[in-house]
Amino acid sequence: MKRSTLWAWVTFIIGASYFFIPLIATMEFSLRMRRGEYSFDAYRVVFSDDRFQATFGYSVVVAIFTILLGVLIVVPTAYWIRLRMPYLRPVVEFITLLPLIIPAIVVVFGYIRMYGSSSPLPFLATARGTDVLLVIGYSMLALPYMYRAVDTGLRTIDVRTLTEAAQILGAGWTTIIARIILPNVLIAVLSGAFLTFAIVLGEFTMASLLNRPAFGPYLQNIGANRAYEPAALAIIAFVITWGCMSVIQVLSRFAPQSANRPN
Amino acid sequence: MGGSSAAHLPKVEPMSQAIHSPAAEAEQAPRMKPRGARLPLQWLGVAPFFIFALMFLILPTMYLVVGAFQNNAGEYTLENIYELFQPSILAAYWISIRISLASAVVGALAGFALALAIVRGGLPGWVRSTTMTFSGVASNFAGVPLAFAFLATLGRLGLVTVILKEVLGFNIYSTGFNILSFWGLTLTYLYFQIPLMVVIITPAIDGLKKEWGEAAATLGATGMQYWRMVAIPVLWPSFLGTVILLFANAFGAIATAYALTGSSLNIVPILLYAQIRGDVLHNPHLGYALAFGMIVVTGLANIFYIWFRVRSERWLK
Amino acid sequence: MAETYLSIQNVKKSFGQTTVVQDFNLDIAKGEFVSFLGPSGCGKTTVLRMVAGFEEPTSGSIVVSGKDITRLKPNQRNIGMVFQAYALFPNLTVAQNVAFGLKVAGVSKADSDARVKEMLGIIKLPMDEFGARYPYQLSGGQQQRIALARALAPSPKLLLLDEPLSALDAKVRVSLREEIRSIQQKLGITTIFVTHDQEEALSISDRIAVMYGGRAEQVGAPFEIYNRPASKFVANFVGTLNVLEGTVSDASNGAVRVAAQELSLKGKLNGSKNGDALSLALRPEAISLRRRPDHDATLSGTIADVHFLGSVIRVRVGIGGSVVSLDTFNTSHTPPPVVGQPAEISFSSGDVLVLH
Repeated sequence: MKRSTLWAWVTFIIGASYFFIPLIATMEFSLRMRRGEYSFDAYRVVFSDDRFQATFGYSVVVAIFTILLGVLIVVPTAYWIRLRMPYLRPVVEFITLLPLIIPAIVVVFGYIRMYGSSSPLPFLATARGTDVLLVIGYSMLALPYMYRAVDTGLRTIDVRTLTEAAQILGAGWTTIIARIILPNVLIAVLSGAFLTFAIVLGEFTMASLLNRPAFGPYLQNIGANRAYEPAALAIIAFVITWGCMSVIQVLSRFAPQSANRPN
Repeated sequence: MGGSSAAHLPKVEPMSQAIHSPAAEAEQAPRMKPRGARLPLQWLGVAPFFIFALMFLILPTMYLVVGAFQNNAGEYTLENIYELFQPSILAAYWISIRISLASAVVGALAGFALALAIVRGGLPGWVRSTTMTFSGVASNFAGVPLAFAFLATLGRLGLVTVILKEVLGFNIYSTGFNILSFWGLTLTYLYFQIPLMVVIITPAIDGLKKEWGEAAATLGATGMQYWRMVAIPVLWPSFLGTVILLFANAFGAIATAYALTGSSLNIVPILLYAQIRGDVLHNPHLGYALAFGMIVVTGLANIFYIWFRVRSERWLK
Repeated sequence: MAETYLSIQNVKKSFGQTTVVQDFNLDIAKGEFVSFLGPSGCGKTTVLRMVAGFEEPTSGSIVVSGKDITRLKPNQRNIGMVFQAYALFPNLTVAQNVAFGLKVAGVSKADSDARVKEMLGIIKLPMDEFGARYPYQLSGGQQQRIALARALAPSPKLLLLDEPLSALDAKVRVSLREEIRSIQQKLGITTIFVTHDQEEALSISDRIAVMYGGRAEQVGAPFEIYNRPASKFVANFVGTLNVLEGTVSDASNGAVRVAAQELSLKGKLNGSKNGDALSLALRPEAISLRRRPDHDATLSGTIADVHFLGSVIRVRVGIGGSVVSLDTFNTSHTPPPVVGQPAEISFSSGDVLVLH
């Protein structure tokens, strides 16, 4: 017993140092802007930078649209697959996993070539069109996480019985989805949403190659040109990611537990 | 944060699922037979998904794949594929594969050790919950901020570099280490690879039932024998699946490397990035071939994994 | 009783402040089948796990055929164990599972194969058909039989069964328990069977230890446990019991007053005084709904409830504030009792258990 606890502590402490030292180093570095003393100057500079506010705001808006689009695509599909077309499940699951196999840079490269200004669907001809394409691209990126989260949520509530019960009581499809299914998987959807938010907020490749003024390319730009601000931004980014994950954790505590399954 | 994040992951879980919930499997069997007459209506429900996937995932990819086999005049050719084998591009693939493999294997082993410690090490409960939360965060902490963090730590003026030099008189840069090198990048990638492993493999380790160990003990097996004959074979598919996932995760990652090294480290995604921005290869179709090559590498890794599972894991449902 | 084979001596187990097993003593003869019966949390599983070696007793010792094994590791004890959740190794075939203990012990391939075949024959899942299957391809009952074969294959000194039937459905549960008993008798292996199901324990045990609050309340043969429970807990836990509250009206004559009616219980009151409150317990099968020559006691009341169960009719009779359940056989020419009718129940005063 004693011996087993010892190796576990050693492993844990080595792991913890690997993960904490860079954070401490970054924190320390971000406070060194003023010569000879620690200060929050770097943070002050970052927060008062117009481009920080603009790009951050842009990415937040894009993230929200990505989440909406993701929910619109994923929830009805996952629901329908569970209810009526379980034989399609392997195909759908395979497709939702594709974004993990096809690198984002390849997907966006394809967009650039397929949806250019002279193509039949010229998304890239206008700035607004490009924004739409970016949102679509992000929702593809988030597809594996979103689908998984929603599908797990649906599994715990026995979709079929709920739907049949609602139908017996005379509910139509819109009512069923909006009033029965969505509220029951809301927690799962929100978990997926916050994960999507964390992914989209700092994403660099797609935004940069589509030339959109997003937070990721801004981070990159600051990193290449400044000394202390990047460290402050790294800490800020870490805190935001931490916030998203904490929300997911808190949400998962409210998730409906399986009520009708003995195990 | 960043494009290469991948926590809460599906792919590798079928094994832990098989252990946890036989109910989930049974439930997947179709209870209602598809009715021919209603087929078109049925399909309406999933049509948006398939149209989206086709338009924004499959077709763009196919466009590049087809383009890889065409020349500027639109004729079919293998020339672009041959051109991939020029030394500079080959070198880019080679270093990409090495970094991805190294960070995947080391990340998987370290993540496994950490997961084992928090699940089976007899540590207090808060250690486990804190580690899990932190892993969720760190597995999504990639890209530009991560690069900054490691520059601040192990860069030439990084905190650890400076402390080692001033306190211990040890200059890690004199040993040939460089944060902008192969090992520097691998070490940085581990920051999201290890937590990703922890997030995925912990449920699998939880899935090892206590009774298996006890049954093995009453049958006379030592702890080592139990691990060799039962626990490791049971965990192996999950482990290998996660390694493949970590590999793909690192292979497609660009933001971290780009922010860390600019374009000084010649890995495939950075080369492709430069090609998309400015046609540095002076041949658009060679760019397609480069992208095609990336899909081939991650695709092969997955095919290897599927082949392995089918071949050796007959006990999985 | 034959010579003691397994001896559990003054065993006590505490986790921190809470004591889950206190002063547990039990001697088991070779080839005996003993059940530990009790509600969850009574300590029965903890005793079993101490015999297996997964828990170390806080004090006391465990001796198997004269050898103290209290401090031995589980893998040095040569014990076979079957778990509630089967615990078959999912990555191994049926044959490999059964061969596991033999392989670990270094038995030659040929000997091991022969033994596996023999064991699979005993549990009636023949090698040819089932040997190459994986656990997930078997039903729960089949898996548990494989687990039994796996535990028995290395010829252990003891067989420990930890609620092996609880996860199975009712029909399989009955057939498997009979099979376990017949295999146990055929092999003559000393066996401890942990269960919370009294019917299971009564039907297959040589002896039963009824446990409550970390102690053995009573140890005895099923017949003895059922008919002569040593405590109120045992009487209540094993079988259905009707309890009537009464007061001693005349201690010298053994007269007890129940719901304003007199009962004579000669020789059962041992030392009660007039006015003492008593609980009188009766098994449903000891009561009948009419007078019988061999029944010397009667009480009258009203039919409160009639449940038609097929071959029997369960009748509940209200007597004062208490309700008494009894079963009558269903015969096609006698109509069932009607709720609300007055009724008279009779029983033999010798069947009354007086619980102080």
